[in-house]
Formats: sequence, structure tokens, C-alpha cells
Amino acid sequence: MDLEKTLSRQEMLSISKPARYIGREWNISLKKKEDVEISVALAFPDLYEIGMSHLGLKILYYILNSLPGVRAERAFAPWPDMGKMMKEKNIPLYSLENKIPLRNFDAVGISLQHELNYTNVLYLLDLAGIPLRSEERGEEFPLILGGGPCAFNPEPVSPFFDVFLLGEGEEAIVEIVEILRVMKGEKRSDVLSELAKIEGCYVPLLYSVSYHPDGKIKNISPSRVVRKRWVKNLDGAPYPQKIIVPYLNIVHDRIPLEIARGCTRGCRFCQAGMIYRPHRERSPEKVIELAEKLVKSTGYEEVSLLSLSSTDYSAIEYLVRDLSFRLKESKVNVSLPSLRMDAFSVEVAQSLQEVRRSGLTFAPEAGSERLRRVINKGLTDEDIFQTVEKTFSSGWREVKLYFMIGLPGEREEDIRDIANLVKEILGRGKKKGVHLGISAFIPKSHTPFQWTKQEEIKSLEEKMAILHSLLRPLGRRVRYNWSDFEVNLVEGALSRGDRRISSVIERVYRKGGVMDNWREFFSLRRWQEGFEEEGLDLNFYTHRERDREEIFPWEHLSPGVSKDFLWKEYQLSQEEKITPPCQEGKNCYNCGVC
Amino acid sequence: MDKFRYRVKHQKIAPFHFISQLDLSRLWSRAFRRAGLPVAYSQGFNPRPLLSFGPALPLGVESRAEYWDVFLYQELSPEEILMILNREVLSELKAEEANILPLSFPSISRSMKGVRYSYYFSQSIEEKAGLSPDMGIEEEKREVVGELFVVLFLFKEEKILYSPAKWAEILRKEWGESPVRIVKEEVLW
Repeated sequence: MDLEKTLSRQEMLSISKPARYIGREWNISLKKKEDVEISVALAFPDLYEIGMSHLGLKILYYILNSLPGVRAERAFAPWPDMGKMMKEKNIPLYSLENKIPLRNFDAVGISLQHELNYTNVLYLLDLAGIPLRSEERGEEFPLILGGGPCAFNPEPVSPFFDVFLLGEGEEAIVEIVEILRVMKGEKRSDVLSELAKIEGCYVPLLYSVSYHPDGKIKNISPSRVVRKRWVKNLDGAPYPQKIIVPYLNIVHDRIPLEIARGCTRGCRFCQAGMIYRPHRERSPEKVIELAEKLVKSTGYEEVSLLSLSSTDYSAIEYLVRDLSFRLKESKVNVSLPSLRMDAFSVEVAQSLQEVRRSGLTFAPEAGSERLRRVINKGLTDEDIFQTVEKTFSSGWREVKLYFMIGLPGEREEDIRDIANLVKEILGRGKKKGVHLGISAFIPKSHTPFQWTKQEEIKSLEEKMAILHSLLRPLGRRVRYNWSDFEVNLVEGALSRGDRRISSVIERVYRKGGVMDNWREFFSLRRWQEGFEEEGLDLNFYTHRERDREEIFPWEHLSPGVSKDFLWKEYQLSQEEKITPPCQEGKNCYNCGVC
Repeated sequence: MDKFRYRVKHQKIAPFHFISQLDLSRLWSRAFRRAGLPVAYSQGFNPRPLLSFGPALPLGVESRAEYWDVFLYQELSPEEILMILNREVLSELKAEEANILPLSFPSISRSMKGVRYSYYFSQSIEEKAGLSPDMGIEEEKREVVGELFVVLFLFKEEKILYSPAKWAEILRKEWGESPVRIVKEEVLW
């Protein structure tokens, strides 16, 4: 397809940021048709600037295109102005590299990073001219594969996919593509049963779910549990030596360099902390080697050292010092996106040559020591004050602090303690500022809080009102923003939802729901109507405490962490007891992963 | 440290007419780093390459004559600069010419004496009357290229920096035709 011949200059100029749709970026892979046996489209159900910032996409793109005979190309959800134009002009969703319609690929892999992207999954399929449901797709259509954190409870979107991969894709994607290659031209159902044999692959069509009259799940059969894939040795895992350099300013416009995977902390609200276990590190030597190669191949001006908690990396001081030194001459900065809240982390941040001393970000998550014990964020008030003092005395003008409200066991005094913390911080840093990011807690699958009820909007608003009354008098040194509780409500329903919700998602999409994670497009009414029309109760999924015995929609899908371990953690949270970080050989709580 | 100033001319051909001036400046800074070009950086906390552009090209306008000035801390021959830059950008952005300039030479905008633009139309404009040249925009030539009708305009004097996109609007009002393509052909110095 030739975009320039299909859309005129005027038409392209009438849509926002036409550069999203042209491709031609540096380091893209353009394979010749005659060299291609299997083609995979990597489709991201969000805007170009979001999808292009995602590390997983870069890793899979690199691995697939390194395989002889395999072509991987990218596609993103177009902004609604372009989506509308494509529908009017009959332009099917195409890949950015060779401008090939998605329906002509052998497989389309869709990354599921966020529940609010679910309507965009349908948007992608619809624009591509691919039937939405697996059972409606004939032999001529590509297989639709899903992965990413939402694949640990993909039930709400399961009828739209053929296969999900649970966990890390580096090894499994090669096995999947090999089966596609060997079985090319064979019956779809045969290919699916073969794919289901790969460890970590979940074919939802092969499972059936029955329900009790009260709506709870009665049975999921067969009982075979799909266990996630994870890479044992990060140094041995493939990592891109070059990544695509976009022209547009994307959300994370820098080299992402993953230094560790998994987290040892065991915060009870955190799904990432559970599903990405165990903690593994890439060696400093490997990180440095990759950083130098990536700077050379991309020309990027910044390397970001990624992990769930960068300062937990065992050689972080050495790595930061050495890397900053090596990259100094080419004027490349090193940055750390996730700092643990302690003085050591501030020291490490201080040693970065990056001199934007505007603010440093931490996540205390809860206002009181008691509530932080409940969620297993074992920080004392004094830890927080010392870190903030150190931050201010090192020259930063502001701290940004993330808090959640609506946590299990939260009381009014915990909310007041958020404001008390802020007051104390303002007293310790004259002329310094505090920026608060407040979001509503959403219980997620595979966490100790998967049994708990999500807080109602009304009660969250009451808590916000208390915060307003306490924070506003503190004046201009305190800035704060908070999440959209209506969006959080829908996210909650989808994240612990079951298969029946798929019809709701389809209804919402048919009513015009796309880009639901963008406030300007989100509409709670659309979702409420969708639930109503399907005879389902949104509150059943969100505002309900589950029993120990309840069968979850994700019961047959395992990140390795056992239900017993999660339940024990849930009990400990109610006793306000902490579980120290796990350490190989020392503190093992038998979570079941290793 | 010694500095050497170069003026580089490059193309910006479709589809790169859809990337903005800011995108372009990032693109070249990254190409410099990949190329290992000895670019001088600004002093201070947030060093940036000493790179300056001429007037920004509006989105949707192509060019065969874009320019930027860069300061290097090592002297390189113009041929060398072109060779290493063109390894780091696609052909639609090809660097065509590099010249060494005195450090105090006037900026690109101030050195320009005129700019030529081609306007491509899909319908014949043969019957359309010429527009009055007193605005500093002069119609120089009409020709047929393949299936398209092309008019060449020279922007000069106070209209040197006039937006070619705005001129397309005026042509649309006068002639009832929108150009399918606008190309900046040449800068007169």
C-alpha cells in the first residue's frame, strides 16, 4: 500500500501528528518479500508515542527480525482522527515498515499493558478488517497472539485472541514462530492445539468456564494450569543492540536499558512485584557493553537504567559511576527512573551527571506507618523525612511523592497522615516544594489483595475532600493531582473480570469507545450501559470481598506465585505485619516461583 | 578550543515533510552522535550541539534546499562531512553540500536573498491569470511535469520568509486549486 497515493497532502495535514503514520524511522527492519517465510505484526493497542516507548516491543522486534525467514513489523492504534479517515477511505490498518495490511500477516501479536486498552484491541482488529472473535476467524486470517501483564488475567478479552503467552517472551516467541513456520497452511485448530503444548501458551478456546447462579465461577476445565515463562539468566537473554529511533518525541524518548527484572520487596498491592518474580540482574559488564552499542547505533542522548527498583541493583553505584564516565565525552546522560526511598538512593541520583535538579520522585504509597505495614511497604516516617532532607540538601527543589488512597484497611487518620507528612516535609525544607500524585488503589489478580474489595467512588471522593481541606491551606509549595476514579472503577472491573465481560467490551467499542485511557475519550456511561445491556453487574467485579475458596477467573493461569502464599500475605496484611524482602538462600517465603 | 563553522544543505523529501522542525533538530543531533562528528556543544548544565537552522519549513512542504549551521571542534573537509552524515540519514534527507564559513558569518535567515518554490497541481492552471508580483512573490515559470502542472514562484525582498503554506492558501482562493505538492527548490544567497 502506498500511503502517499492513498491520502493527499491536505488530508494528511488535516490529521494530528501525521508523522505517526509514515514509518521510515532509523534502524527499522525492512526484509525482502522473497526472504520471508513467516511474518508477524507487532501491534500495540495505543498511540504511537506510547507503544514506541515500550521495551517489550523492542525486544520482540529485535528477536523476530534476527531470525532468518521471519519478518516482524509494527502497527499502533491511530488517533481517532486518523482512524476515522482510514475507515472513510477504506485504508486497512497497515504495518509501518512495508505498509502491509495487518490481515496479510501470519500472526498479529498484541501487547496488553493496560486494561483500558481493551477497546483499542477491537479497534485494531476492526481497522485491520479481521473478525473480532477467534471463533469467527476463518483460515485466511492471521492468528491473534496476546502477551504482557494483562495476559495473567486475559479472560475479559479471551474470545478475541487465539493464544496468550504468559510471562517473558524471549524464548517462547521463537518456539511459537517455529510452529507457525512448520505448520504453515495447516488447519487453524491444529496449529492452536500444537501451540497450546508450548510452556506458557494459553489457548482460551480449549478451556470452558461454568458459573453458579450467583455469578461466581463454578468450574474451569480442563484443570491443567498454564505456568508463565521466565528467563533464567538475563545475561544470556537476547537484548537489542539497536533500537528504532523515532522522529516524534515519544513518551520515553531514550535508550531503555533493563538492568534487572523482578523485585524482592513484595509490596502487597503490586502486581508487577508478583508476576515478574524472581529478581534477576543483568551483569554490570553486560549493561555497559549494551549501553555503548546502543548509543552508537541510535545516537540517543540518554540511557535509562530500568528495573522495578533501580537502586536495589546490587552494583548500582559502580554501574552509574562507570557508565556516566564512559558516556560523558559523547554527552550522553544516565538516568534512573525508579528510586527506593532512602538516603543511599539520593546519593546515587546525585552522582548522575544529569543536572536537571528540579525534582526527585519516590513512592511512600501510604500516609501512616501502620498502613505501610499493611501493604508491606516497610518505610518508617523517619526514613521518609531523612530521604527528603537529603534530597533537598543535595540541591533538588522538589520531591514528587506517590500515594494511593482506598487501600485495604485504610482509615480516615491514614488520609490525614498524608497531609501530616507533607506538612513535616515542608518544615524540613525551606522554600522547597512537594508534588503529590494520588491514585485510587485497584486490586489486581495474582496479588495478596486479589480477594479484597475495591473502594467505591463516593468514599474515594470523601477521602479526597479531606485531602483538599488539609492540603489547600498549605499553599503554593504543595501541588497535587489525583487519578480519575471513574476510569479506575472500569480498570478494576476489567482487571478482575471474567470471560462474560468480553461482550461488554465489544458493546462499548460498538458505541464508539476507543482510547479509553485518554480522559477526553473515556465515558463511564458507555461502560455502565454495556454492563447493563449484558445483564452484568459492574460492582460484582469491583466492590466485593472474595472468600478464600472462590475460584478466580485466572485460576488456571499462574505466574508461579502460589495462591497459598498470596493468602498468607493477605492474612499478614490484616495483622499489619510486614514480610521483609526475599533474598536467595536467606529469606525465602516459598512463594513458589523459584 | 578552536571552532570551525560549516553550513550544510540537505533535502527533506516526502514523507519527511510530515516531521516538524523540532523533530528535525533532534534527528540531526542524533545523526551527529551516531556519525561521531566532532560537534561542539554549548557550555552549561544542559549541553546541546551548536546547531542552528534557517527559517522553519511548514509541515507538509518538501525541500531540496534545507540548511543548518554547525560548529565542529575539529576541521574536516566538506566531502568527509557529507560522507559520514549520509551514512546516518535516509536518502530523503540526504546532505548535498557542505561549506566552511567564517565564524562571524551572518545567520542563514539573514544571508538569504530569495527562495524558489514549486507548486504542483493536479488540474491544469494554464487558464488561470498570474498574480500581481508587487507582493515580493513572483511567478517565474509554468510547466507540465508528467501528469502535474507546476508553477515556480520566487519569494524575495520582504517576502523571503513568507510561509509557502500561506501562499498555497492564497492560490487556492485565487485559482480554486490546492497544490498536491509544494517543494522548496532553491535558496538564493
